[in-house]
Amino acid sequence: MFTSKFKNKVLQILPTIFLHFLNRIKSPLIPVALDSICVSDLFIIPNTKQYSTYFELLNLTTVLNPAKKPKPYKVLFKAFDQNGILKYQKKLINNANPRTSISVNKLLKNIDIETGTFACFHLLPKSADNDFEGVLCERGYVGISKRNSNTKSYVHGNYDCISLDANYHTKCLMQNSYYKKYYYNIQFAFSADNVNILLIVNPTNSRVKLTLYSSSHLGYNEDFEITTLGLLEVKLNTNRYKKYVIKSNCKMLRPILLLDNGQMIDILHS
Amino acid sequence: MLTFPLFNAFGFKGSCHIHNFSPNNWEKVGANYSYVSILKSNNNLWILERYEEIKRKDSIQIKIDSDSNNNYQNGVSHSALKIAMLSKEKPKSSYDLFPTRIEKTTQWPEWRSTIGLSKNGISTYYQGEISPFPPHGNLLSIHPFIQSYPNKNYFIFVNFEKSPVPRSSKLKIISSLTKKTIYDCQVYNNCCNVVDLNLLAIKQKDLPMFCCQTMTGIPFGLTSSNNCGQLSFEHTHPPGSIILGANRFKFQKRLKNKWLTL
Repeated sequence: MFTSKFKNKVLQILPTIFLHFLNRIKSPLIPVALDSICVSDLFIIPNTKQYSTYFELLNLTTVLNPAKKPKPYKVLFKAFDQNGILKYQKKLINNANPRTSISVNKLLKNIDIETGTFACFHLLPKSADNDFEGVLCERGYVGISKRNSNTKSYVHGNYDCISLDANYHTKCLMQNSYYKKYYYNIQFAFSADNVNILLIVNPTNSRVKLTLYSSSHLGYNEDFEITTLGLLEVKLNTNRYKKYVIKSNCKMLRPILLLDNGQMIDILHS
Repeated sequence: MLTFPLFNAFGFKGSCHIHNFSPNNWEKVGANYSYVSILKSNNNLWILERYEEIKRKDSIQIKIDSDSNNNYQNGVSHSALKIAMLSKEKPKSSYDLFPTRIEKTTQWPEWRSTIGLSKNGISTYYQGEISPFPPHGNLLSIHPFIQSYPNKNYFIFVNFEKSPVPRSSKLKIISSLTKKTIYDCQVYNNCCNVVDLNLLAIKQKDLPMFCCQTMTGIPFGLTSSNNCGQLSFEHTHPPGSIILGANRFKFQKRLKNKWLTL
């Protein structure tokens, strides 16, 4: 909302102790409103020209009540481009099968998304059969394969990120610090044998500014920005640098690592 | 002191890449670790196999060379779990109980190592750690990782307890489609237990539930393509993560009761 010049001016004027106080009161997590319908993680869609993305949609009536026959119900699927702009939303029928593997590439075949993110909300009301407290939460599993492969590499969701209210409006449940810089050291030693790609989603309600460093001080550093609900894809130069650090104003900016050796891929949370 | 799992699984060789630097700057933990040691339960003791020094900010990769403890019977294999321990103090040669963590470590995220499985020069990884599980915990794992034929699917259940005394429990696999038990087998503590799911012809639309009444651990899905040229290795979430904004443990307990008593 404020320009960065204005923000910098304010930061110069305010005493540090007050900034500490502000940072304290602005928790990185916003509690979910209990009248929300569902919460979803923000899942990745890596480059659709090279990779196929699948989402494992589970029928939660099966999971919640094993004594009853599972019932079909609707889910709301939303896909965003790399800038976090909503490009696709549709209510899909979650059939009575306990598990359905959805091809995200097929679902988005007429939509202009090369890389991006998606969320999936279960529109399942509470009832005697669907016995749960709080709000349902989709932190599911995404399978990524090379376009010509029949074997997926799975990665689980990581953030309780977006809530959906009764009017189908979404709200991010994570927020950035006003000023504090968080350093996240990726605990992974990259191999030069692979093409190593960092996939970073912005799960917060504002733009994330980040600097990617190699952990050696004289090495590489580069600045990036990710808009809300957007995705940043960075190909690492692992011939020169093996370890990386992310500096940002978001406390949990944990990238997903996509390792591609040309024949196979491996995908994991850092 | 931090602990990480190291295991072979069904012909896949295990490795563990341990990092001597904190994952973040917002939890002050004083990370002056100096030793990486490998421990294994044997004859009712935790025995030190070997240890080495590690420099600050360095990473060390540890591999398991032999697979001599692998024991395969009726579609289940059991191989001994080794624990890689990152500590400030030099390790002892043996422990009656696995030593308790005393110092503060990171929680958001946890301090992790890179745990890998490899076969024919192809590797797959996940970032993880392990802490001793309570001896009377139970398990419900919702497993959506089954991939279609000719891919080969395995369920991996890794248990780690403070006590090195061996014990076993029964693992049941329940089909969500039929709500019937399709398989059961013995699983062991301080062990990597692998179930060969290829013998069970589980349908793609099914969602197998892995249940254990008296033992808990980390549940994983491992898949390899037919020629082993592509691997997938990932753990499942605890079932309590289906909800938010309420007591996840209470909900998880109720959900486990429903499935464990089927």
